Amino acid sequence: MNQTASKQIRILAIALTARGFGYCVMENQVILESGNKGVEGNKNSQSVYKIDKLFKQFLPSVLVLQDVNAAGCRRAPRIKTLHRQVVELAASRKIKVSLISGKMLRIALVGDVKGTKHEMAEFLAQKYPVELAGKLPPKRRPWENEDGRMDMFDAVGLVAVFWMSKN
Amino acid sequence: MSSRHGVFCKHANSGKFAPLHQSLLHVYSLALNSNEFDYSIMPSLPNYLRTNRKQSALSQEEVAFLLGVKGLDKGGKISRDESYARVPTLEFALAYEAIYGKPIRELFAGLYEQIAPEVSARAKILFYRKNGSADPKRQQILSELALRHKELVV
Repeated sequence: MNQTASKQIRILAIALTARGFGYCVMENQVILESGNKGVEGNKNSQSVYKIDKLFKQFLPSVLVLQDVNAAGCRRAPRIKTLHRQVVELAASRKIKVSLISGKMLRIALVGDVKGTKHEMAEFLAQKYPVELAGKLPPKRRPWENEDGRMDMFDAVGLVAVFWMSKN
Repeated sequence: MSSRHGVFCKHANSGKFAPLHQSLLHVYSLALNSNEFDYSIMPSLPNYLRTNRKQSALSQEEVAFLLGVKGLDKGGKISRDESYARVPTLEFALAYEAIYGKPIRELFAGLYEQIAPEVSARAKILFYRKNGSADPKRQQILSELALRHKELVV
């Protein structure tokens, strides 16, 4: 009876957005789950509650977030506060936190600092066709809002870049 | 504004800004400085049913139909299995294996990792228990079993 490699490194990436957050759970380069959660009312407390549920469900060893305090990163004060709350929550659960800047994300996925989110999403859909190809939103036109599914691609991008940087 | 958010945090319940406690600041800086990842190994999830279902592009209702679940709220039963709210019966576990084409111990990896060391521990007890039969084959099997799942203990 051969023994399976049973112990896993599980990574949870969360992309905080105005609507809620996108998330992606990856275990040894396999996407276990990805999606996005919308929040209403007190967005920060709702987000923290839902992120805590994800922590309990997936028991990640590493949490990957976008570096909202990086140079040139312009995020709303609410998102910065939420970022801090999420980091504290992760620390209380003894989960390590890794921050990836938007610049690093674009360079790693598109090879250009001026790469667009759609280009990154297309790259990720090619990299993980089974999980993501069917969820790729159409390219946003200038007068349209960003598609809600893009939050999930942001999270997948974070976890993919984390793996790239560690390997 | 940025300095305000650097030192203050918004209280989750009241929504008001309050000074971030010094210990929390310390925790925050500790968490962010954990760049040297030792990759703390985590136990497997109790089951990987949801991941496999998504990879198979099946809905919960479809899986319920394949499993032969009867009654209302078929998808809900699959949801409870996937969210670890209940452990499926042996018949359902075998049906999951048939649907996803993976052995039960891979589908229910966390459960297997929990049970296997317990079996090993009991095998160790049985190995040392004096029951009069010193059958060498039995002793060998028990000693192998006692050592087999030792590495699974987290």
